[in-house]
Amino acid sequence: MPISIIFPPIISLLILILGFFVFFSNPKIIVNRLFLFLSLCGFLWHLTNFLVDLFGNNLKLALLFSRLTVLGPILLAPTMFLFSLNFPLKETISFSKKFLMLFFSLVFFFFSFTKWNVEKVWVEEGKVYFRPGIFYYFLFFYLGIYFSLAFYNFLKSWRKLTGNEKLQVEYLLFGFLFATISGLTTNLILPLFGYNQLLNIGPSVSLIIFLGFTAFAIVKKQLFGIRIVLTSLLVVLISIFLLVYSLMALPNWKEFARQFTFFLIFVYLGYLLIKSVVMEIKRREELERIDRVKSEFISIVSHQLRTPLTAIKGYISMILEGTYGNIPEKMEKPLVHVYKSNERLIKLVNDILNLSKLETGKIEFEPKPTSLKELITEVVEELRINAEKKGLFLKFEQSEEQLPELIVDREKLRQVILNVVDNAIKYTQRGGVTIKLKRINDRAKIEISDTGEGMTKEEIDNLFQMFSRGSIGTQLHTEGAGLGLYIAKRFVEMHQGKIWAESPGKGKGTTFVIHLPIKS
Amino acid sequence: MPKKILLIEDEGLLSEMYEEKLKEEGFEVISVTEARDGLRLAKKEKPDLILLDILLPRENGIEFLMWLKEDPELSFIPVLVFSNFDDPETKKKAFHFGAKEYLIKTNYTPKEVVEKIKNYLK
Repeated sequence: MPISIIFPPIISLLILILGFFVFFSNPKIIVNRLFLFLSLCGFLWHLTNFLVDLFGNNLKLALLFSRLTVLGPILLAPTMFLFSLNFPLKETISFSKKFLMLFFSLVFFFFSFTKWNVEKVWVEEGKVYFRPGIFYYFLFFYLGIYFSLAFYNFLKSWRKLTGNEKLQVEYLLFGFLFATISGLTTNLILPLFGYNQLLNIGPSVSLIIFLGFTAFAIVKKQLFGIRIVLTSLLVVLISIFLLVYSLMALPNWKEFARQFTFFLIFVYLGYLLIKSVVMEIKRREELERIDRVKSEFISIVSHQLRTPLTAIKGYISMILEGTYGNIPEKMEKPLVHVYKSNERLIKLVNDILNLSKLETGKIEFEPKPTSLKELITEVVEELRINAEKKGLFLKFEQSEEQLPELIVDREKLRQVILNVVDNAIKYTQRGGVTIKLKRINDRAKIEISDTGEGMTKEEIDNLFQMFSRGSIGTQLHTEGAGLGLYIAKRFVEMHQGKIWAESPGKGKGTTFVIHLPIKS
Repeated sequence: MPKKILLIEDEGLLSEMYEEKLKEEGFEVISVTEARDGLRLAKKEKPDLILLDILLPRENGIEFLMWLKEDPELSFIPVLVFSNFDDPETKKKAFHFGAKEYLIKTNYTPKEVVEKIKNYLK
């Protein structure tokens, strides 16, 4: 059976199914009603084209149906424009504009029956050909104006919208684009290279693609993403191809049965494929939702935890500063302990919040020119008192070569250096901590060496992992959650830098090295 | 003549604490708990600096910054945002609408906040 007989009814049927499917999903919605009307216009166009070919042996009927082929597009174009005014944003147009639209539609409607539309038809080698009248060229303008206006409205909505509604318009525009490209390929580009076999199929495929994408955009409240649509589209197109192929085998019933079985198997496998893609995307969306909720939860909890911590920090600091008068000597030590414990809690909350931001990719990065020398001096001044209390030295040695200012996120880098130096002081019982800053080619090198307990290779390997502390860390101090160095590493990596630790062994101290690229 | 600070903070405990410290340091403090009241008093009192919390009842601190930026008589007043709400987007917005700093309250003692204020009033 020839493809020109098999293909149109299948497409027509698909167009009707789509139209009624959308309409019955909620008949009260104007967009759904307009979509049904669009589909009916498409169906009418398709049907009349089919009838022209079918009645090739009766030129009178062929001429009549040939003239009627324009009815579908004449009605489709203003409907498309109205659709663009209602989906997804609702816009109204004045009565005078509606009247103008109706007037032009009626003019074109009446002209469609005349010789100014189609002058004559004739048959050559079994195919029906026609000679267009002057009206036929005006029709191109008519269609062009309506489609351009509709496209403009969709683009306008796309710019205004966000989230799911924006995605709906994207689907629509994607369908529009896809349909245009496939239409141009089958009816312009391929014929230019002498290939005319797809001339009749091209517009049908374009129409079904556009209606398919639009239907999907309307019906789906939560769009799954373009992957599912493309998978479905591929499965549907291959299915249509296989069905047409099997029907072409007729009247050879044996061959038809073989091809049709193959078609059925493919449809089933295609269904399984689409189902698996849907499941996978649903799972991913669920994970993303959980991630988002977790991140919001951490953000709010951190805020709520920080408020009382701020009050404790503020009042204790003011008591220690003497705002409320001199404090008895005996009270000073417990107050300092309360203050330090509070600082630990603040650091924990900050670390958890940083971790959450890092994991969800929401961490901010604010690079600006920074002097590393000043930054390290600041950290040293801040921690000097801690070192002195333990009887340790804390030295900063800078090489004679001047380093230029580096473009870094000052606060994050300060946290990294503070964290490493603070750890070095914490885990050193005798001697002290030395910080060195020098330039090595196109990198700045910060070295933080202590005379502490040192580490084994295994401890070093695990040092920058989340919730990890060296064994000496668990023996001497139990206050850290093991997040500090993990966050430090991530912060350094944000600067395209490197951080690592070296230790000659137990009892021989540790050196932390930070490399940062120097960018001019 | 003491410098005038407008403190917009809805948490009573913290508001009292900062007010106490600021007064101790010789500032005159006007304290409110809502953004709308803050704007009204900013117009009336013309403070030298505004210390602004972000999460406030009804309109938030970002809206306050937007109002302030639109008012040519007030837009020159330096605003230090101080909040425990550590959200990158909010931070970005605050700077966009003219905040000089976005301090995370819990990371600063009242004395350190006062130091920051003094820097801007030099």
